[in-house]
Amino acid sequence: MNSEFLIHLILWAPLVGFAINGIFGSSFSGKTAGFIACLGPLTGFVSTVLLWSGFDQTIQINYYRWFGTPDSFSVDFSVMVDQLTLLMLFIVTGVGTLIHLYSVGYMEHDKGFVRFMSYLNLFIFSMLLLVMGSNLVMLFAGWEGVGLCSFLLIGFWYKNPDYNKAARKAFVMNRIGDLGFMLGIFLLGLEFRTLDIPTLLSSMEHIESGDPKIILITILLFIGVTGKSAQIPLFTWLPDAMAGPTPVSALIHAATMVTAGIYLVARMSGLFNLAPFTLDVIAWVGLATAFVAATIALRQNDIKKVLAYSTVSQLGFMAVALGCAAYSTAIFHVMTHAFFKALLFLGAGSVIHGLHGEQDISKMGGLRNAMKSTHLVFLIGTLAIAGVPPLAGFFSKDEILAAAFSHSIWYFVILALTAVLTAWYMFRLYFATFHGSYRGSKETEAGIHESGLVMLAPLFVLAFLSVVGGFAGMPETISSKHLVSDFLKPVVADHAHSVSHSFEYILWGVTLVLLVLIVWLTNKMYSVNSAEVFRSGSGWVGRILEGKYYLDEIYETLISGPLRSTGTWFKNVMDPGVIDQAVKLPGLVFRNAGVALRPLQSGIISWYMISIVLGLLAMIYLFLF
Amino acid sequence: MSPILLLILFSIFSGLLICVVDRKWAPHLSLATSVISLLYYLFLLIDFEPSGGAAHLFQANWIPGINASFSVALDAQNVLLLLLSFLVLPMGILASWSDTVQRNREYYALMSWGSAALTGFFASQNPFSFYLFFELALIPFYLIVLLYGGAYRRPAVFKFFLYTVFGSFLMLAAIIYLYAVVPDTDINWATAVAEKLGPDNQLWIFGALFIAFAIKSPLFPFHTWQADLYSEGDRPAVMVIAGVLSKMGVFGFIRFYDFVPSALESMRYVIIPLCIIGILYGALVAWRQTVMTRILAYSSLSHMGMIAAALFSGTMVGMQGSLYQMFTHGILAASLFFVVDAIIRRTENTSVYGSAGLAQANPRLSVYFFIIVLASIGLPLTSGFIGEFYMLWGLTQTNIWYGAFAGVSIILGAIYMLRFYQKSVFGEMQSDKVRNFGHLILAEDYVLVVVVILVLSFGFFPGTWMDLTHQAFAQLIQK
Repeated sequence: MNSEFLIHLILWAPLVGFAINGIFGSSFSGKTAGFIACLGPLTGFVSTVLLWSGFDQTIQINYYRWFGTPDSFSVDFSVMVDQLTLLMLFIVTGVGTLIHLYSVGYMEHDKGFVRFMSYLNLFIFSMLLLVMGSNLVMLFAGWEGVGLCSFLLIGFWYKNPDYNKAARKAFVMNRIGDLGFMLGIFLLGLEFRTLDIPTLLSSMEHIESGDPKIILITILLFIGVTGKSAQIPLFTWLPDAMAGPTPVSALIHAATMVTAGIYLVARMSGLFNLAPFTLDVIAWVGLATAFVAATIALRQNDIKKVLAYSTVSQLGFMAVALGCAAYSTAIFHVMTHAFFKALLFLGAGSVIHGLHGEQDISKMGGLRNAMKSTHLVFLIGTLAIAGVPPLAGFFSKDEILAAAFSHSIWYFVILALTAVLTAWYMFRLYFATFHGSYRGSKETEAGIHESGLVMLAPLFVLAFLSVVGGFAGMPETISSKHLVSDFLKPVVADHAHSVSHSFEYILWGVTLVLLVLIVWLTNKMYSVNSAEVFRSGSGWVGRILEGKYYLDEIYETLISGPLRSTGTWFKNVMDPGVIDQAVKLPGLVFRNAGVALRPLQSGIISWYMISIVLGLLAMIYLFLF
Repeated sequence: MSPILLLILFSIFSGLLICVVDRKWAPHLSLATSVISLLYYLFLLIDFEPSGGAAHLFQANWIPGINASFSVALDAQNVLLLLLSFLVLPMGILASWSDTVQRNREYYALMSWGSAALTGFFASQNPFSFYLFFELALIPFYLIVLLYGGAYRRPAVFKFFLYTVFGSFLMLAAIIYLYAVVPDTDINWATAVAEKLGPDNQLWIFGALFIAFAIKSPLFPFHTWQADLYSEGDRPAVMVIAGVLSKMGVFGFIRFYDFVPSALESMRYVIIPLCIIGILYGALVAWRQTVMTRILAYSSLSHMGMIAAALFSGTMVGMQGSLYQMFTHGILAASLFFVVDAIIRRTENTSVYGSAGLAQANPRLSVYFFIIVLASIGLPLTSGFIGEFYMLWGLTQTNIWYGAFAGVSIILGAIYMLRFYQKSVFGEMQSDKVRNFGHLILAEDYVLVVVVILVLSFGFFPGTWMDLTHQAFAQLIQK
């Protein structure tokens, strides 16, 4: 089939689904609406496969000229598909389809089912704009679009004020990043007179590495990344985003939207390579994010919160890869992470569904008997994220560690430590949920049930991908072909060094030993019958971790609180008391002057006569002398 | 006859007609004439050539003694604003249909005359016509608010009137002074004045004009009449005031741009920061308001600050964005008041908390409302984004710090608009008034569908309009 036609299909099918369900959805049965909604991303996925099979070169489609100003910029409504886009399309439409399917089962009893499915479609459309946009404004449109959908889906249960707050927080935190992104776009445009990504990247050739302008631009773009991809300091929205229904967490806050920032840097790799300083910043921010989030995850008891912090931490891993200029490694991890994190979230959703909404792991335990399939897939997800060979996470994480090692020993040490923590909190979660004995109330125990096939089928597919996904990027020691980085080579400008084979072998050996140790320890500690071990600790370290480093409180005290009180002060004091008083001042002066002069108009004729005479005398005096 | 003059006369005449027809037909007649004006104007746009200078010019000798002429025309600068005023008027009239008992024939006649004055204002081609219509436009809306406003309308409208008139006198003085300098008001008047005026005198003129226009817009810190008027005024009239009249001030800056070029150049670094303070100030106050109309008033203050700042950036891109945003913001401000009016009329509560649970009571209105909110926080693919992108680009081009600080408004804007929306639409239903909210009437549905179409089409297809705004400033910038 004509590849341009396929691209039209990929991009527009989800939007059509959104429009149909959004406008006529109220008259559809749940089945019809669900079918229409799934059709959108499924069409996209099938078209992506077809497109890939006949793919030989970058395809660009110009729909029309969007806007522009002579001598400044011209922005087309245009999309393009190259290798990087194609890979992202596989993730977005593939994982997206699975999550749509799962949602049909998960949300079927919800009153807002049709609304939910149409939002999911709109989200897919925005994400597609983001990865297909061939200029920065198109990319930005998708970028803001996913922010909007995230707002809609986090606050999906809109009657709850807390959920609304979480939704708003996500949007606003993203917007802070977006401001940086936007300024970056402006500076790029002012500097290069174009916003078209291929043109921009090709005009980088005569720019010297370390040019201060480029550093400023890349830093600004990276501020956008910290918002969308949940890096320090803007990551606090992501854990709160768990207020949304679980499929949302899987789709948006794990598999796709949050990877947008990673995608952006990889997409602009030619630009970032010119700014070594920015790359260092990215690496350090990534390291800090990975470590901080992993430590918080150690002490969370909400199954979704643990996964949320794990997502933040994994995004930190990806940022480190970017910082080491190993862009294709970062994208590789985006891919494997999409598989196992979607799997884990959907598995968690299945657990929550089976327990009628319970999310606290201290009230779970022993679920491996009641939910055999969920247990199996969750275990696979845990093994994959913990980096057990030869599952997907092992290969991509190994590659990031190698890149970090070749860059700096410090990167490696921090990252390796974080990887250990990752394994720890994941096995803690796994054992607490599925092993030991059930710690909830007796009434709820009877109601535990395994989820239906429509929810399990996507889980099995994701589990399969989590097992084999890593083979797409095997290290040199095993295979000379690295499918992902070979595929991306034409469009992503990697600058990473490789590590020696002996280092690889040592790394694997140590990894294995540590993993066995962690599994043994966590099993001992958390496969328990009482919830004692999950109670909050008394040590200050534990309290800080449980309090999430009190970042929300710090932001509230230092930023939002003062801003709010400034606003209140402006509203109550400054506006009516100062500015308006100043405006009224002339009126006041005239009125008081009037009051003061009023006695002159006394109405007493003799007084007027005297005044006239005195006045005349004064005038005569003035004229004569 | 010039079609532009025809449009003005048509509005005046239909106002007279409304006065004499049976009172039950007044609303219908008023709507019909406003729609006819709109359609006729759209028809004019079909073969409008923006690069060709003023089209459909009508010029008449007005005060021969001082060589002042009355002249109106369609040009690249006013084409969007005329469109705005022709679009907003029928919206306002439809909003008034909910209660045509209170609003008698005179109400609709005043609306028509207000429209005539606005048309004349935007179409005017020289400072004399400009001043004439600037003053004329005030009277109908002053009367409407005075006669049909809320309980505390008197002090609000009094302040509005005095404040604006004060500004007008400054403007009049400036225009007379300009005439004294070069007593020849032909087409090159501005250039001649600019050459002859020293930088100091330019500063004085600029100062007088700035205060006049800053009061009218309003810009910080000349805004204190605004929130009272917006809350106490008759809401359909406030739609026109917030949507169209608020653009008169900034439009004045465009019209007088080339009279005082050197003053603009030197004052830019004072005015833009002042505007940016206004942007942030308005946004912060809007965030803390709980009365819906007041949120909209301060949100407008913030937006107008941005529009003015971008205009003063003196860059082509910034000025284009400013003009485009004047149109977009006009539509959005009017439609936000339209939505708020639809809510307040039914819940009889002006607080944002008064309509909690609206999402369940009337999902349709909630969706329209949401789309308008998104456009006003500048989400891409809505009309709001294009203007904001251009304006911030222009400000960044002048100085990156301007772009950064003005850009904070996209964060604060999201905060206060989403808070506004969530509080007033989401949550549990609290009151019976919300439970019995009822359906939208047909007129409301029509208006909101048109607004949504406008918002999306101006977001997806701004290209032609943007070229038009480029024409509007091509000559100004070259000088």
